[in-house]
Amino acid sequence: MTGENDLFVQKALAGQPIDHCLVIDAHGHLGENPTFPIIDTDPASVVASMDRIGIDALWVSALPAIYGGYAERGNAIVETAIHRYPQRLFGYTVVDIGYPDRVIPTLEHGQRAGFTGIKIYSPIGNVPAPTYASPNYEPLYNFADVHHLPILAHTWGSELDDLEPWIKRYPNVNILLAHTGSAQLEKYIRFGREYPNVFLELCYSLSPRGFVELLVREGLADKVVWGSDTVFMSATQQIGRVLFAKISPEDKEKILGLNAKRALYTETT
Amino acid sequence: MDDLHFIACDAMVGAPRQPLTGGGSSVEDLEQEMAHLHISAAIVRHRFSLECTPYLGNQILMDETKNHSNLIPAWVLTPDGDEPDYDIAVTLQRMRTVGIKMAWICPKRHSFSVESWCSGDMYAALADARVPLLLDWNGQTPGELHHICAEFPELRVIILNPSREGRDRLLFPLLKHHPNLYLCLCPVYSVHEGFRYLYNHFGASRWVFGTGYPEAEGGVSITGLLYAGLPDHVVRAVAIENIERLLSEVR
Repeated sequence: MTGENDLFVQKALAGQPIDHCLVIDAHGHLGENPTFPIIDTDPASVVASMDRIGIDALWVSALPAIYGGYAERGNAIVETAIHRYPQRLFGYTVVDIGYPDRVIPTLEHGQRAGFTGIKIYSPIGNVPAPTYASPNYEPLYNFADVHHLPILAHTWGSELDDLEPWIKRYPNVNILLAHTGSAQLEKYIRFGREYPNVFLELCYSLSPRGFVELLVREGLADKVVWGSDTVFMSATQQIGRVLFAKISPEDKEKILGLNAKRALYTETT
Repeated sequence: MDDLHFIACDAMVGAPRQPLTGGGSSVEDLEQEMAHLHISAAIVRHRFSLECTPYLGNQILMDETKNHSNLIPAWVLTPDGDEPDYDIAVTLQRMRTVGIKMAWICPKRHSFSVESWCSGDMYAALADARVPLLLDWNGQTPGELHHICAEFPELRVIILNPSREGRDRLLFPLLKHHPNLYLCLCPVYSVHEGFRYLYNHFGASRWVFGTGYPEAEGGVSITGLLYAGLPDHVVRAVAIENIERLLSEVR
């Protein structure tokens, strides 16, 4: 089940790309970061890293779109990148949720530009922003529902309460909970079990040992999707959480790609 | 790369007050994890030294790693040394007598200053013996680290859990100024293009390998290194050769 006979472990130990199954990174970023300097924000470096690892596709949003009040400037970075690498990079549109009149125009622009998902971000640090409970989100969920767009939601445990009413109200909108298990793990597990439209995304810098195994033991092998948070973190490193997990190769295939294919509606994009 | 093995420089064994959720933390569990990850040897600290009493933890470490030749014990130190002498020179002599080649400190937990007025004699003795000192990145301020490295340029300082904040505005100037500063590239060092940047700017000789055992999934360090696109000789240096060299130079 694990170790010497596991092709994922063998390839990882040889530094070879994971090229025998679909690998989708559901959580990435481009652009500069406000709090510390990213070493290389060029999409070329991201795609080169994907090639070394064997990642087929990466869904990205722009860090500059997330933090300020100029989402469209950030989205433009992603727009350029997805046109430059149309088979490898896919875009999440980010909206300035604090400005309700901009939400639909930004999403419409994203739709025209070929973005295939939406990224939402809760307040962080001491910068005020609407919570996930804000009614400003209503047109965003409506848009996602009508246009069949998945939503990647930044979470750190406490936001799940505000997300739950939207998850119930929009059962046809797939919602990926980023940073599963960063806090309040039991709640993530409950959401993953209870809601067919919820998927649990993995990236987390502490990379806790035994965590992927725990989610599989909890019966969530079909609901976990792998994400790296590159370029904010490193995909080369985060992939090891799944490759070396003591789970079956079949479950690794699900977590590395098959679940994301479902969650991100890739059959239709 | 055929037959590549690793030496983990940051393992910690010992029972916490309650079991960890992700797995065990005993010597036997560590060895199973090492086999899974192709790790041939590990530098090992003891949790009891961190969470309870420092020097009794060293004794427990020696007991538990006895007859495990693939485990390299590292002793925790305090600037006042162990009983009955409370003299760091005597403690270090005892440490060297039993063959210990690595030291670590946890100044916040053990309530001392890392500045030289408090810990200078300890640094001087470690530098003289070329015993590397493991320091957690969060155990002192970057300014304090700068003063330690500047005042004791012969002291080999290995930073555990280094900042993952990209081209870090505090860590990278320290690396530039202090060739005696080394990094343990362990699971928390999740930096896009980080390994290549370190190699391109500071060479191959200042990085050692860590897995964050028992809290972290050590496989992330392996993929972080092997998928970084580094030349084979650099991978080998990080995986095993740099720490072997540092240990071989202990007097």
